[in-house]
Amino acid sequence: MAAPLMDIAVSRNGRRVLNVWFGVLLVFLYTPLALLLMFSFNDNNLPVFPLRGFTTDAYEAFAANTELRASVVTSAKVAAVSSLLAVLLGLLAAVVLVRRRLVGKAAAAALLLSPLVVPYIALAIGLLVFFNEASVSPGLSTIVMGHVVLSIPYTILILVPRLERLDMRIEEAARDLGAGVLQTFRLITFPLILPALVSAYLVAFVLSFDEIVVASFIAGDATTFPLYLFSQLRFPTLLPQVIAVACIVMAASVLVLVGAELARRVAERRLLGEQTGQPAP
Amino acid sequence: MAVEAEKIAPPESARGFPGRPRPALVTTGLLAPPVLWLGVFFLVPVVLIFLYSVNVFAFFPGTQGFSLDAWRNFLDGSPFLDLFWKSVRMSLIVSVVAVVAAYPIAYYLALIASKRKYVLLLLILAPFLVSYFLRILALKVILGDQGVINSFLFWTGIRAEGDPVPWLLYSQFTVILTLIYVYVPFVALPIFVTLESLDRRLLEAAADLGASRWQTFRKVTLPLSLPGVIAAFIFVFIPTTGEYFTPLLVGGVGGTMFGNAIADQFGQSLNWLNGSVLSFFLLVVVAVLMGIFARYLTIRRVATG
Amino acid sequence: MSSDQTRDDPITERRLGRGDFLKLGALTAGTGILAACGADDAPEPSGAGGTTGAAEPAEEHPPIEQEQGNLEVFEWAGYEYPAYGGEDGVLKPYIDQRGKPKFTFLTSDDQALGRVRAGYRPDIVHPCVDYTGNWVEMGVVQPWDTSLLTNFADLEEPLVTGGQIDGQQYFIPADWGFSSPLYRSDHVEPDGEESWALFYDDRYEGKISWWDSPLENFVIWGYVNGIEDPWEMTDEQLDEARDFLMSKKHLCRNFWSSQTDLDADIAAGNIWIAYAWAGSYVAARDAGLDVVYSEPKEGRLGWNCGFVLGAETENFRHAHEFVDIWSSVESAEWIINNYAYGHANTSVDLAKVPEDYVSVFHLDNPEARQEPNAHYARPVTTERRAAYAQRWDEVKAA
Repeated sequence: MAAPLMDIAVSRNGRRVLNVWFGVLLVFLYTPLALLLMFSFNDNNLPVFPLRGFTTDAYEAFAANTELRASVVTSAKVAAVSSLLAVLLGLLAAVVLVRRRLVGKAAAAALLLSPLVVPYIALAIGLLVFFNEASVSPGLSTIVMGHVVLSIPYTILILVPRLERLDMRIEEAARDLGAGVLQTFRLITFPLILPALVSAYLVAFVLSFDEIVVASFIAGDATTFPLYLFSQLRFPTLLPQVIAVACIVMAASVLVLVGAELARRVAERRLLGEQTGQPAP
Repeated sequence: MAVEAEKIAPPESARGFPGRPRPALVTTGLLAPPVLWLGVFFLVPVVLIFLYSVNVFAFFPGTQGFSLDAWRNFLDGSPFLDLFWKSVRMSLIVSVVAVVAAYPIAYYLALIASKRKYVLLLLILAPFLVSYFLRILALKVILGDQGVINSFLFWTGIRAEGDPVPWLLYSQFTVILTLIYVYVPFVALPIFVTLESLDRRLLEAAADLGASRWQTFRKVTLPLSLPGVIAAFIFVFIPTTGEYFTPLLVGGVGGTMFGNAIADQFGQSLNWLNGSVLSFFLLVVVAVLMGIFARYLTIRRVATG
Repeated sequence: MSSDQTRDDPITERRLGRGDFLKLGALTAGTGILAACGADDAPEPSGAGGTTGAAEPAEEHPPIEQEQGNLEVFEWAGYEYPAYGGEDGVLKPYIDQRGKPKFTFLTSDDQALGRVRAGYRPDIVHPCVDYTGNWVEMGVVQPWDTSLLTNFADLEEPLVTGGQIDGQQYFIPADWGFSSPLYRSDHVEPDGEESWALFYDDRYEGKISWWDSPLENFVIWGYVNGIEDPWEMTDEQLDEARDFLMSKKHLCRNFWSSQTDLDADIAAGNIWIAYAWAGSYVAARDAGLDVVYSEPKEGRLGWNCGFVLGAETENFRHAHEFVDIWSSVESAEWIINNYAYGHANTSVDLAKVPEDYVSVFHLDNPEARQEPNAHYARPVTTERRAAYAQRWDEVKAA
């Protein structure tokens, strides 16, 4: 059994430093969110100090605000679908880019990565005019189409390094043993790259959920959450509700995180049980 | 289950397996969907932008007609060109700092916190689900004249009461700080993916051969993680050059970037002609930069490989 | 690790050579040619740029029951259901009878124009009067049939006239208000009389905020410098204004574009002097600050927003009913009480309105809103607007 990785990758002091650095990042990331949480219970339309008084008005108002809720659901739907498409298309592209021979591959790569290069606002205008000329009425589906374009470069940039490092001999061994192409993919490749696929999906989801520039031009009569939020900036009356929504989203994410950690521990214990031949504790 | 030596085929994917379609067709078939998607939903709009920039299309119908005047005006020393270089400078700072700051995070996640890594990864990505606007709103509270930081400075006596540090908010500094804040978790991801798939045995081999941890890092880990680092750099450098919302919200008067000029042309100024010129210019420059960068990377890899 | 030499280099190692870029360029150019061929078929906005045909007489529109009924209103945030048309809201009668309209939100007049230009076709839009000409120019709106509006007679005359183009009522006025310097009296003391020149006061460097708008900043400069009609300045005057504004730009903390951000900045003490609408005055007072809504000697600026009707609408009568409710006295009272804006309906009983709103915003004094006391935003031709906008962009880029 090889020496534990931790000894090779980092010294004890190094580990402490990295721990601290990670902690610093967490503080940076979550302090503003903690502030938002505070303000969501604050009796003031504007998120400024000093704090005025505790109130749950914002949450109650949010519960009653069908438009706001609908916009959050819309954003989630758009993000879920567009991310899935982006990961699928990105995977296809990554496979070709990493493993196949192709004349003009660099040109294809340039095309696939080029949405990174165009300012979103210009792309948004271009898309809107394009949909107009193609007589496609702007709406949820057009936002999805646009978001897929934005996300594909990111999914490719995540999947390509992973596929590069994938030892193809494992797959070829499977093929030699008689597995079909799809079988190999399903049983060998897919589980190996699953973390990268999940990462790519998360990145695309987050990108789409919070995306406003493109959405603001090609949403037509659909309203995504960022759109709703941006339009509310004109009057601060609804701002507390929006902050309340953000806090609810945060709380939901925390729940997911806690759930994931618990699940991992359970799985680990079970695995330990199997290995030692004892029933799981 | 051990794999017998004779059965390891030469790693040539073009070799024919029984019942397998011709490799070229498969390749085209695989690549077609993403390329087509981008061809339609990206190339065509970009071409439309170009056509707007030469006035073949125009915002108010009836004023169109091919003309290079807008390009000439822009390239001939307009203030927008200076703004462009300023944006590139700011982006470079953001990108370098973000990648440097994110690398230890990715390293930590991939190689040290092995068991908890996905949960921790989710932990640093979760804030993204909270709307970007609201996080910036909260940042403003922290950085403002009577905000958290300045209040702390007053309280400890470092600054006199009523004499806040003015450049924390609404300045170039704010934009750079905010962009780094927003991008670091994002940027950690590709580095993480590369490090996570690192073959541990290489590190062990290095150790066995007598390399110190630092040497292992420098000669093995770092070079192997370079694709991820490059990807990370691209992740942040290119979008931030055209960044628009952050400078709008926290840039104040001195922190405006090229993206603001573009947004204004398409928005307030209804000057789609000029806006298209600026957009297309940004596109071309960044594409060239990316090309140069990829080329530089090739030489490096050959040199260290 | 596999050492496949015949495998192509991964993309991050492969050079993006000149040959490949050329191929990509050829592909793009080819698409461009195809697209340009299709340019002739580019849909012209209906009504072919600027025609002002007479409105069809009401009899030629089908009765309301036969209309689609799915009214779509392109609105400013804050005016929609549920805030405004909520359970006991002003829009309730309309909603009960005709169903809830669909609201989409615009963030600025220009963004609204941009979206409609690129193909979005709502039934009603809520722009401000100085853009009416641009909307008509684009050919996407038609005149209203005022005989269908029961509250029309109550609407203030000058505002109504302001909404006419070639004698056709393209614009029904709704809400109006002032724009004036707002400043914190505990920190700021004007140098002499109240004046727009406060925006250029060197003593308050870093504490000033101008509105991010192509027109108004030049107009303000014009009034401060005694120009006869700052809304129609010459290119030379505009250049002079631009250079001056560039020199004074460093006094500003930021240029605000969202009122919420401005209110937050004032409440947080980041800004002491700002170009502001009534809502900011109310917000600052609510935050417990001592503020003055200035009466500059050059005169305040004013604005007036209202409704235009989509040229292709299938909900002609629904639209008129909607706007009619908006023009009612109840609606006026709601707007005044909640946003401290004025409303075009002159039959409002001002006794029902908070007293200082009436005095600070001159709700009872129509003359305070007219020249030379106040300068309302007026239609500016596209060409002139572009000249202002170009220089404003240069000020911002500097």
